[in-house]
Amino acid sequence: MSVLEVENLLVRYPGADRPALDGVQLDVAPNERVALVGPNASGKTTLLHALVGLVPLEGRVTIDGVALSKASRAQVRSRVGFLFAVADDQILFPRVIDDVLFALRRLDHGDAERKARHVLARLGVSDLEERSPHHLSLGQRKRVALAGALVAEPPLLLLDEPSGGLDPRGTADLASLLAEVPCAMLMASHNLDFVCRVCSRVLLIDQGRVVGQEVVGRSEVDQEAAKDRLLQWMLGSGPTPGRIA
Amino acid sequence: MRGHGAWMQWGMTDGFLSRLDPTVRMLCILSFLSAALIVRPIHLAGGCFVAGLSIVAAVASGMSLRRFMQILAVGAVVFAPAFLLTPWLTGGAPLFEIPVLGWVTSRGLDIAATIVVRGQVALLLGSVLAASLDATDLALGLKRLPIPHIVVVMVLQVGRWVAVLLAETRGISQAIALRGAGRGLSGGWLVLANVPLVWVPRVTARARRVASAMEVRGYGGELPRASLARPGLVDASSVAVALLVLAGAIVIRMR
Repeated sequence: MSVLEVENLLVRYPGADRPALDGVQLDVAPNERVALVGPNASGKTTLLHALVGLVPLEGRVTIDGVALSKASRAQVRSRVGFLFAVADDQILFPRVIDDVLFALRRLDHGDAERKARHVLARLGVSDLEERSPHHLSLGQRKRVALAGALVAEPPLLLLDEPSGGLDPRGTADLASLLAEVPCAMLMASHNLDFVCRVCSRVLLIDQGRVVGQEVVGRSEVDQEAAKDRLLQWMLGSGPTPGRIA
Repeated sequence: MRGHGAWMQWGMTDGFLSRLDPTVRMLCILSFLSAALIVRPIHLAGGCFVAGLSIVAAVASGMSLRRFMQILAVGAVVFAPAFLLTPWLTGGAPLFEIPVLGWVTSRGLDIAATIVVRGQVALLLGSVLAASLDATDLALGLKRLPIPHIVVVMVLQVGRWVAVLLAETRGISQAIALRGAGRGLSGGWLVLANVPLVWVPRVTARARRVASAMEVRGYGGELPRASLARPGLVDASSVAVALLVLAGAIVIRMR
């Protein structure tokens, strides 16, 4: 069974002349890592937001067996870890440890603390737990926000531009880190090198439609080849890989 | 934010005061502030009392002399204009005449000096409190007091976002100035006029994004789960001292 199933997803913003998402179909298997790649304003972020009910939608979204509806929205969201494009926006508490603990608010405090510290250590930011988010660097904030998303061990992680604003070292660290996380992922990104390192499948999205897909092999040669095909498509000088009619 | 010259920052000091229980910290500063407002600062005993209180509070918080002087300077700029009101504050013995405006009386000077001293003390003690409490301590400290939950949540969130908004404001004004709008008097006005025009939409967009994140993460006004340790002997002694200070202020006032 897929951890994420999307059928005929349609999102239309008020006043827009065309839908932001039009008939999107996709599925993500457990522990599969899938990327959404496409030009600006192609609908990547809208798709991620639609999956957790942040925008009004038509069609069917099922996450970990729960169909998204007004009544089930909280249940669906509890099965998803979300990393927003600006990590600062999702860190809601003035101290790092409190923000990570928030995701475990239904757990016994002692257990929650142990778990939160373990995740912070795994992400290499255990020394920041008493710090205030606005004293952290961009990379550190991303890790803290990711800790808040991962600590509840959701079956699905949605990431919006996870490598945005990071330097090459920070990007490489994040890629290695995500490669070890045991859950399914759907990420929107412009960083082709990053998505080819982390993901096994890349969906091409343009004008609100999934128009193709690229399967990325694990060897470096395969990853480079996939990156080249994606780049050619992005630049408009190559065919659409795995064109979907 | 640290080391950027801001004169008042959350939880930046680590003096004796910062090691007290957060609720005790708040009660002590509140008690000091009440004491400073009770005495008449223009009398010798009252003046010495207020000055001593301010110095003790600043030292207990671990505030540097430089920052102490910065706060006094800001207070002077903010409150000293109260002396401009003296020609209109009549009563008492006339002291000297300002042409056109009229006579300055002893009562007028007393009132203006009281406003300046009390304003300075309130600013200083507020800064001491802010400097010795971070936003989490503040929320946890308030949680123990009979304050509505929603107020504590708002204080916590204000504490979380105020630094972000300040950084954003600084960025916008620097960008406008760098693009040449800050040169000369008219340029200065252009910066002043344009900052809100850029700031409001940007802050609104950020507020929307934060609201989305709160929604996705299921935030419903929860406070940090960390619980405070029970106040100890040092905390109890500090409250006792603060109450003695308050009692002392009442005695000085009644003399």
